[in-house]
Amino acid sequence: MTDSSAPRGPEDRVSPLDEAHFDGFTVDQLSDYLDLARTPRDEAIESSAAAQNALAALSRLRKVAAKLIEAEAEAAPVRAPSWFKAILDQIGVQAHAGRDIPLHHDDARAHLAISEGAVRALIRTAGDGIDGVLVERSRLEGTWRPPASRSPSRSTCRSTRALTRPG
Amino acid sequence: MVTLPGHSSLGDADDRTLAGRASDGDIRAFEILMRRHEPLLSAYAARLLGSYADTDDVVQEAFISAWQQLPTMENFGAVRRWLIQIVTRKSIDRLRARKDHDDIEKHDVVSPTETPEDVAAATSLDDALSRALSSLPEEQRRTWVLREIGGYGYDEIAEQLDLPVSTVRGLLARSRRTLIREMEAWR
Repeated sequence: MTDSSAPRGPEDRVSPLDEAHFDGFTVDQLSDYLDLARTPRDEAIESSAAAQNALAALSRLRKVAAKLIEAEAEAAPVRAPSWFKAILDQIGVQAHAGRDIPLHHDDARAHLAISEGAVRALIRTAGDGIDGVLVERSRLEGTWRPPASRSPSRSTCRSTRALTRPG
Repeated sequence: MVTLPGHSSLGDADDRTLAGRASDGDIRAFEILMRRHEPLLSAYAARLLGSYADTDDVVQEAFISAWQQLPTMENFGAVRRWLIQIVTRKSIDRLRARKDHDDIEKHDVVSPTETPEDVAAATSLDDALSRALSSLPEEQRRTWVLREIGGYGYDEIAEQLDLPVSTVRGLLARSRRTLIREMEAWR
């Protein structure tokens, strides 16, 4: 018998999952059973005290695992603003501009256009300026006509969502 | 009076709103998403890669890739899951590149950093598991992280790590046995 008050080294540690400690079930089998939320009910597993012990340990591990990465993320040093800026600088040159929308000008030599991305940015700025509104996405509807046709294209802003601002 | 919203009001927006705006080209919304999810993604990548040096690059690449993929994103409500998938792919690419260069030993400097004695010194159950995870052999740790943190199935893990499913199952069983032994010892 081991003296329970004696300091235990790593080699003395036992795990509820050590093969010798449950009734012939494998860790793999029990993990699968847990993954399936213990359904359909397996009487052999449910009636084995050793398997129950192992299942309880597996559940505890899973519970702690779910919080582990969050705890590690919280403990990690905060990244410098320059780290984010490096990414933003890279994606800034690949902005989602979309198609060009031709604009009319009286001088036929002038070829003016505005990108869909720029129109969306205008819609966001205008929408966000309204108290309590934050634009989510905008959808530009209609076909862009050649400038000479002078028939205006329609732009519809869909899916705005209100955000309550404090104060 | 019209007040243009600054970071403060956009910063209160949920992931869904920010992802929608970012897919419309709003870089500021994307920046908030990055800041919100970066700590978790970095912690996850560090566990997969076992190297902090590679983590920086992988998470940066993942964000750039995420920006490019935003216009085709389907479920704006599941931003975190989507980002985890991108980080996983980038991490696996990095691991494969390491393998191809056949200099795994040079990179894998952090495994194992912890010994069972360190686990006994843990100050909480979270901490005990964290230390025990660091003490696992590389393949066991990676498999366990993909399953329990990444939420991948056995087949997907096998495919990503170029291992037979039976090997993945074996690695997972061994990792669980060790982690539970260390956790129970700490309790």
